[in-house]
Formats: sequence, C-alpha cells, structure tokens
Amino acid sequence: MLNVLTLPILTILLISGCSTTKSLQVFTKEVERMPLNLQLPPVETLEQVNVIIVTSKNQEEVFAKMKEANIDPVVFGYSDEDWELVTKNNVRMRNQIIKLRAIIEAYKEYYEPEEQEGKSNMFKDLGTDEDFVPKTFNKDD
Amino acid sequence: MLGQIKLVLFFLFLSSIGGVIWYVQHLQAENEILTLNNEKLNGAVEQQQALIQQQLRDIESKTAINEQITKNNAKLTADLNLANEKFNKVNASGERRDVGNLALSKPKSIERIERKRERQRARCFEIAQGSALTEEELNATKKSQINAECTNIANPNYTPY
Repeated sequence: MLNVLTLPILTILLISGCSTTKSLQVFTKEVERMPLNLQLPPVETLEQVNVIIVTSKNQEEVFAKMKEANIDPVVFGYSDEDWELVTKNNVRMRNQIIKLRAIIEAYKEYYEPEEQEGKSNMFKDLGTDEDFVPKTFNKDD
Repeated sequence: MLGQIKLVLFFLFLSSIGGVIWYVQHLQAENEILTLNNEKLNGAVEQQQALIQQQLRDIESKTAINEQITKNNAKLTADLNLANEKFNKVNASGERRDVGNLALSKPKSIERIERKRERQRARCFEIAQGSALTEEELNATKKSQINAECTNIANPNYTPY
C-alpha cells in the first residue's frame, strides 16, 4: 500500500525536478549608424583657355598679334598628334569623374535611400545605345 | 499499530495531494512560459521573414545599380571611341583625317573650331561634376546646337542623324 502511493509521488517529483523550461533570450537589434550625408563638392568652373594654332607659315603673324595684345610672345604647344592625345585624355578624365560620381551616388542611394530620394542626377541612364553609333562629322564638327 | 499506519497513510495522502497541486501549478507556469516563448518565436519568424524580404530587396537594388553602372560605363567607353573616331575619320577618298594637315592649310578655321571645342570641353567637365543641364542643352536636337564634345551627357534629347 505504501509503495502504491510513494512510487507515483516519487515519479512525479523526479519528472518535474528534471524538466526545465528555459526562457528565450531576446536579441537586441543593432542601432543603425547615423548617415554620413556628405555633400558632393560644388561644380568647379574651368577657366576659358584660348587655343592658338601656330604653323611655320603663320608664326610671325601669330607672334606679332600676341605682342599687339600685350601677351608674351611665347607658345606652350603640342604637336598635332599630341593634341589628339590631350583631347582623348580629357575625355578619359571626364569619364572617370562621371564613373566615380556614379559610384558615390549609387552608394548613397543604396545605404541612404530616404535621404537620397529625388536628389540623384548622375545615377541615370545616359541615353539609348543608338546615341553611341559612330556619327558622321562635317568639316567644322 | 493500525492507527499509526492510518496516520502515516493519511499524511502520505495529504502530501500526495499537495504534490499533485504543486505539479499542476508547475505545469501551468510552464505552459505560460511556453505560450510566451511561442509568441516570441512567432515574432522572431516574422522578423526573419522581414529580414529575408529586405535582403531580397537589397539584392535586387544591388543588381539594378550594378547593371546601370555597367551600362553607363559602356556608353562612356563608347564616348571615348567616338573621340578616337573623330581624329581617325576616313574621308570619301580613303584618306585619314589629319588635324595637323588641316591646321596647316586652314589655321584660322581650326583655331576657331578648337576654341569652340575648348569651351565645350570645359562645359563637359562641369556637367560631369553634376552641373544641371541648361534649357538650351536639353532642347538641342540639331547638330549646330549640340555640344559635340560630350553629346551623350550634354544633350540627352539629341538623336544623331
């Protein structure tokens, strides 16, 4: 009779003594960093530079005109081939500026979409592919 | 003796009743914890789903940005090729355009063109830095109106003809 009562009690005690229900750990959410929100530098306006064409035939005329205009009669020049390279270098530098700006704007758009909304004017389509088909040029182009 | 056994049994009975009550209370407490845990888990599942959705949106956004940058870079490369094309254009008689020769024969004309080009180049640099396009640039549709140095960024409405 004693066993009949003690056994269930002991079993209940054993079972309940072993069972543990752990409370869940709550993971806190990381606080977002403040957006850096740096402004891009203002547009730098370049100085107007005048190109002077000096050939073996017109050199005297060119220097005379320079003297007349109170400009030192000296020319820092390029050969026609180098002028071609300078022009292409200009395109390269300009393209690089556009690419870097596009990357900065893309980063801003990705990480700070709300602040950036409606502000981007660089991260846009440059035009259709047809715009880049080699064009024909007139003499003056 | 029988009375003592009855007393022991009575206390055992009482303690077992107490044990049962304690056990039921314990189960109820556990049940509450489990219910709370379940709520937390449901919340966590919702958070995870929101996170997955956010990640999917991020991937989409990242892909779109990459595609746009690649596309624009390709066009800028085409722009450079265009500059190359200008200098190496072959005329109808099969001769390559030589700026040097042109400058020798028409120095004034080339000087005028290059000065105009230099102004256009300066403007191209401003646009590249983010300067807003003027109405004139936006509305340019004719060759005489465009900035020949960087038509792709300066005159978005110009279609070559």
